[in-house]
Amino acid sequence: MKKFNKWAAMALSISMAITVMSCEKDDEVTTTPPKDALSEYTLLGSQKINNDTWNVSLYMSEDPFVGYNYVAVRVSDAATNTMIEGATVSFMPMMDMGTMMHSCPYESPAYDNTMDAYMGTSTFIMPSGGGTWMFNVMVSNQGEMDTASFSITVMAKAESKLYNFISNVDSSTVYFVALKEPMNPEIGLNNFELMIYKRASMMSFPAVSDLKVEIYPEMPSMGHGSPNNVHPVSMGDGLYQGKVNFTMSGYWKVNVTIMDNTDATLDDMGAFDITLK
Amino acid sequence: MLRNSTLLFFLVAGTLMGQQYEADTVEIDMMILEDAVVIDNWTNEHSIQSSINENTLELQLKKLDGISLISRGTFGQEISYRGQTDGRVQVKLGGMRIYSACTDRMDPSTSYIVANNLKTAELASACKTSCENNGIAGSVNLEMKGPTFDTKQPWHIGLVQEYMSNTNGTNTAFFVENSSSKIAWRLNGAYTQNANYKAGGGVVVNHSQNQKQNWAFNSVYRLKNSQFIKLDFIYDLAQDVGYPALPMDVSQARAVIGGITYSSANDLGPFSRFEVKVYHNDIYHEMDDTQRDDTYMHMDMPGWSRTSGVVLNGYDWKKGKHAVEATAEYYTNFRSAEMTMYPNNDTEPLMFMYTWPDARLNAVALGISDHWKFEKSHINTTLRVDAEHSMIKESFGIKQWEGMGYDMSSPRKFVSTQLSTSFTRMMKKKQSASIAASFGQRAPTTSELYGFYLFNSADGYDYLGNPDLEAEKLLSLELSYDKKDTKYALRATVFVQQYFDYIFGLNTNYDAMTWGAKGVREYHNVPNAIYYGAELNGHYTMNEHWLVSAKANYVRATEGSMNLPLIPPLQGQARIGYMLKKFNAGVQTRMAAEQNKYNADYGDQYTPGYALIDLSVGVKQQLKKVAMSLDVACNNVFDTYYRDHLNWGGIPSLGRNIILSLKVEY
Repeated sequence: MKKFNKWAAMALSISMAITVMSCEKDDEVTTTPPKDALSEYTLLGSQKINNDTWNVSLYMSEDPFVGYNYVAVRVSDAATNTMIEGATVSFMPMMDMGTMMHSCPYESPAYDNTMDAYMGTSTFIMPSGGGTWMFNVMVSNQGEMDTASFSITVMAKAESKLYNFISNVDSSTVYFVALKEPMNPEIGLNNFELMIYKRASMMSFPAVSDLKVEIYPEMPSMGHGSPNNVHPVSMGDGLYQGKVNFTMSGYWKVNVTIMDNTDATLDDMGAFDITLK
Repeated sequence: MLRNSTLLFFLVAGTLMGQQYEADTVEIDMMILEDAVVIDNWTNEHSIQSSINENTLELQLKKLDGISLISRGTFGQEISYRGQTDGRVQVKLGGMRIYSACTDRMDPSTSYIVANNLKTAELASACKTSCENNGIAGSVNLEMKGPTFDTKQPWHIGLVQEYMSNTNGTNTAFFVENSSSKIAWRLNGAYTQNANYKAGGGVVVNHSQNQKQNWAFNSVYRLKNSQFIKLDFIYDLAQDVGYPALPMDVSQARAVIGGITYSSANDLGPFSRFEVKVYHNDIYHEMDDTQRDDTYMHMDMPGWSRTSGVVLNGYDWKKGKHAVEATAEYYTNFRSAEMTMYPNNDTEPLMFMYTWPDARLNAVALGISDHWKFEKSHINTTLRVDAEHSMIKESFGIKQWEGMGYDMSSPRKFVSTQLSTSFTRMMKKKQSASIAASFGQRAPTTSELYGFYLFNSADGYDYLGNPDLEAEKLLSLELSYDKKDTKYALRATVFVQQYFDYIFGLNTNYDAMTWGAKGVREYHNVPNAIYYGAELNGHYTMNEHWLVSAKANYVRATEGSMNLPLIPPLQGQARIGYMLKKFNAGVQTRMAAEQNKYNADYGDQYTPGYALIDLSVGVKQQLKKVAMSLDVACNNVFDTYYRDHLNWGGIPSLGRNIILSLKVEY
């Protein structure tokens, strides 16, 4: 009996110790410091405009690259440093190649409360080097209006996130296909999202939403694909959403076929290289 | 009291010589061991059969009714019982569960025990099983030799040296045994190495070499006269093992297996004796293709399997005409296997995936067997329930499977029930007849649930598991007739087994992962499959000099109108043994009919029949306490080129093999 008591006491003390330890753990989780919503973004520059009364800051989700970029803009009162939330902000990215200038596809921003910023996108279609990229941000607030111009350097990623093609159907229209997702590919099923634009003029690249897209992932060095992929379908505004299944890590190539609404193939030579480390 | 404890020791050490038991103790053990074949190369002086030198475990196992071997080379052959294999047939080692670490089944449990250390192989069919087993179609338990408490001679030492001409191979084995009144132990070591084997006609089969060492330590400690602690330990290391039927070899296969058993003849509740066994084993397996010149891309495929378990067995609960035994078991298994491919283009990153994605199995089981004895008949009934809980732990593996469209958020649970009953009637002239039936369920295996693009070189397809599989069900019926006398024994058995929700690989339109594979097959439950067949086994001791024995097996298996693959044809063995004083000689024939009921789509091909002749002669000499024997055996005397239907990839079987064997024992 005595022996039993000793064991029981030991068991009790151990279980109490465990309980105490697990309580402590719970407390730790709840205390997380507040974070700047744009802390993961890269600040590309700040400018004072409108006679130095506004401070405009340009951010992108990472260093600008050829492809689909998330762009954030913050506008604040230069004197009081308070955020201006009610302004109208629009973009005009511009590539100056000396002999000619052109823009690229973009989505002008809207204010996003969760990010404390004006959020938009820009799909750069070529890297800096052939010319200079200027990223113009037009701000208009309470009848006043001015533009901030940021000189930015756009890099081409080792694995391109954008390709273009000339339509097989009319042999003239130039389309741009940008990979939106996956940016951080994982094993298994990934969202596969494309943005598709066409060139209407050197300054106008409207989204195209009435196409059919099929994807065929393969591992070129093994010669096999993967099952359970979902062809992207149009969600409007040039966005096509589907799923891609990476069954193992390594180098994958996702082949893309694009057709118009009569099933005529516009292009079937495009592909995205995606490497899973 | 002394007598009692001696008796107990035999039970503990598991010596299976029936005549050593007292009549009433024998009952249960005899029933469990009804199908046990005593195979003993070391000490079985009375067995004329052993004069035919079966120097491999595989050849020994083939003596069991209904057993054939699936061969991917000469090493690590896999048991097929009545045409059914791993997952459906359970193979245990000394009562311990072992799950192989190789996704391609290159390392069956049978490879961890060597010929000179096998004491018995107990085989139980689905219908005549006991509560300790849960193989849906049958269970095999291999027992190692244990030490004996020998008060007259505390030390026993033995040495075997063998030479195999076919593979220019050697086998060196020894044992040391020591006992005192308290403790007895036995150490058995073996080292084997073989070069490539030659098929009939001298055709060299490349990539069939192997070498391995095996250490087994078994000891018994006597706590009291009625209580023992037994320790079993095996270390097995095979290296440079060639598998001619596969595109890869094995650079290393390592097994560490251990168990502790407490055995008591004191009461535990209603049971008059009981034992508790705790065991653990750790298997590592490394496939390797660096020895092959024709590989498309180099790849590594290591695999791990760790199994632990606790078993409580209660024996001899006697009440009236009933004798009951029961078992309670917990077992857990971790299995993982991965594949890393090295692209020919150095700038590309390595390719990696889990072929077994860190699969975890946890299970509890309860079983009870009742032996109900009447004057002229007995009824044996077994009920066992296994509750299995299976999941993938590794998030990479979970994502692989979610990518295939499965919901992996909750574990897979299976409750498998097995119920079997047999009725045996003793008749005149030492005859008996029995009828037995069973119903069983089994959870799918790791490969069937979670195997990710496992290449099967037999049919050339990659196999995908299916985490949504249902348990497989089996209904079996078995009729048998026995006639046993001191001079002869005859047994005839017919069986029919109907599977429901049979787990089988079906074609998909997926791309194969493996270079050169024909496609991908995915496991599904198909409505049913049927196996039926017959076994005949007999021996006749004419006089003290001559013994004749014969065995024949037949099985047929279909799924709808389709023949199932890897089903052995009609096979037989017959032997005549002769013994005169110190000399013995034997002639044996091994035969198989043609197999024309094959399934080409699943990797089979037509296999012609064959008949082989094996010869052996031996001499024994006793010099005081030292026993020596020299045996020469010649298997496949006429160097016939032949193939067993169960050889993967159509590889030929062993040609003429002359085995010289010298044994010295003190």
